[in-house]
Amino acid sequence: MGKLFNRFQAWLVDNRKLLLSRLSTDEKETQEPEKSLTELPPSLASELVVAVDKLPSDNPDVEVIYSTLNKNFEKWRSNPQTADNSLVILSSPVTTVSQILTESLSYWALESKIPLRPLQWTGRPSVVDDITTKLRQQLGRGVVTTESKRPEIVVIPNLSWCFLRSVDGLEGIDYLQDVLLQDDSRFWVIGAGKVGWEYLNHVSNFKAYCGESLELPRLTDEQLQEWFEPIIAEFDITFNKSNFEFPNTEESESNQNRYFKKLAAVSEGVNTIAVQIFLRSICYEPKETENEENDGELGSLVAENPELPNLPRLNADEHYILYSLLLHGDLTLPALSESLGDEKSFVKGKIQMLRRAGIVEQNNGILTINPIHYPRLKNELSNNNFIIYESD
Amino acid sequence: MLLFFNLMNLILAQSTDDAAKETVEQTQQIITEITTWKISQGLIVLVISYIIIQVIDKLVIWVSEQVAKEWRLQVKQFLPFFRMMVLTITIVLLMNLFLNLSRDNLVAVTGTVAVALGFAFKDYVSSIIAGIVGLFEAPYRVGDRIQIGDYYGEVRSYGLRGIRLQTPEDNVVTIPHNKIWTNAVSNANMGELEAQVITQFYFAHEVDVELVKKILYRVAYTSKYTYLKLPILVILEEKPWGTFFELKSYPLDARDEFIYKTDLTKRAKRVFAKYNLHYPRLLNMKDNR
Repeated sequence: MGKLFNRFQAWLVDNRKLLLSRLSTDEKETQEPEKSLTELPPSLASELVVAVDKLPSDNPDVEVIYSTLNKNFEKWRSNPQTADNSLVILSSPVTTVSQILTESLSYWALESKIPLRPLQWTGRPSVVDDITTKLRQQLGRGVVTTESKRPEIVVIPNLSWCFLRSVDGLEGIDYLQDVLLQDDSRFWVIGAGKVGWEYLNHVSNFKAYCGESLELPRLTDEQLQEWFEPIIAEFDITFNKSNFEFPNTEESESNQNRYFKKLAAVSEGVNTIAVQIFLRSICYEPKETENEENDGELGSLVAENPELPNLPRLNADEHYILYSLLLHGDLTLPALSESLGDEKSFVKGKIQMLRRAGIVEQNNGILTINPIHYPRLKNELSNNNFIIYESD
Repeated sequence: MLLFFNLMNLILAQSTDDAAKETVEQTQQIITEITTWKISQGLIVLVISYIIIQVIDKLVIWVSEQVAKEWRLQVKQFLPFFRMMVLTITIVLLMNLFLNLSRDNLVAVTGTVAVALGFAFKDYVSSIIAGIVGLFEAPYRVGDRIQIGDYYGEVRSYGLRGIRLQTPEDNVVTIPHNKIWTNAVSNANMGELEAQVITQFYFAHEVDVELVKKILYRVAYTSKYTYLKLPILVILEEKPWGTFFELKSYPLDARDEFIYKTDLTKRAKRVFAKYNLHYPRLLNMKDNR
């Protein structure tokens, strides 16, 4: 009994931070994402943000996409009548899947010498009724005789842009379901967010019309370390704090390795989340100067424990809004209010509160979820009966 | 002869006296000496029990509203058990305080109490027993949406004697537990978070049935309230006055039942107007009633 109690006590000590973090969901704590950056001198903080934006976008995902694409494409090419003529690439809703697809596929198509027909959209059409019309304009082939059909690859960079959760908003999906299997001289590559994909599978069994689906792999700690290396070198970021709490790490491991192991785990291997956590974990340590002559010298940047911020307490209306944003990836305010079936003024008020809490971001009128909140938000919504994603 | 009668009277009087004495002794055996301190203790026990019940009520309800929706009803189920536990402990403490509970005394007390309650508090006791049976049989639990007689609503609390039902009109109806002996209890969600919502629509006979079905499915699939893991179904029936449609679906949270129904109706009507679908005419309804 005593042994059991001791073990429980040891477990409590080990997990006290996690338990306490679950208990405390104070609104004040949600302001934390920006905490470390505000602690940095403003000029340094903005330099760091710029450097992060400049990080190379080519990542290991491309290799996986190429290999899966080659395999499926060859299978289809050798037997276009019976093989699946599509590949779906799934990413988290806070990853810009469209960018990854556009960049990687243009190079691949050049190499394969196959005409590429990408859907040249950078967002969802503002009028829902236009989705189908615009899809037809860009992807429609009209009536073509079998002989004149040239094989081509059609790319839908982001399936979420082809629908809106409203009665008329799903007509784009109806159209795609019609054309996907209609023409076996076309191979389709479709990028989609996991939450939107799950929704479409429940609503219209979209999965049945598509071939293999590939989930973008999680970035490993080594990959993240390599990716962040230019910034670490440029800003001379040190990892001399030994408080990186992460299980299964050896004592002999360097602090930097332990930091990136934890970063990979808490960010679920998603680069957009990792970037936010990385920025949040950087602290400024001013140099201890004995005389005023050294005042001009900068202090050093130190990486603290990489952690996710707590979510504030969210009510049912906020859950519906946040789920809608995850479902569509990005939305304008009118589109969000249409997808919820609520008045725009009501949604606007709620969005303002969520933006203040740091959960929702707005760029050029487009609303998205702050990636750093995605892991916890996903769990919260899933616990509240929302459909998130069920891996095959 | 007179002597005999006198003797008999004496014996009878003596036996009556003995019986009275015996009863007094028995009562004294059962009821321990009642002092001011004991009465004070009893009152303290009652007050503490009342406070504990109030605290438990508030705490369980608060916790149930804080946790994820999927755990809400499970947490609420603890409420009647905690209440029953506190009440049982209180009764035992009070009996221990005022009654001398040997085995014989216990039998005597139980018999007396049973007879007294049987006459005076028949319905009350019946409700309490039904409440205890209900804890295990669970025809309704806290958080369920039930219909008993004419009353429909969410079970907000599960008391010793009855339940409190919150109706859609926001009235609180108290229904004694003993209704479960005789009345049918219709439970919409049986401890689950989801409860089916049936939304009804009426059209003229000439309506395009396929179009209406497609619209209704779409309306349900695109409502923010719909729980998509459970099936959505549209059924239709021909009536003398027109075609009657029922859309059966589940909201994410049974509490949203009415707001969900409103959302479905509002959005469906907007699409019906777009397609200019005909509703049944009042004239037809009157003619064919």
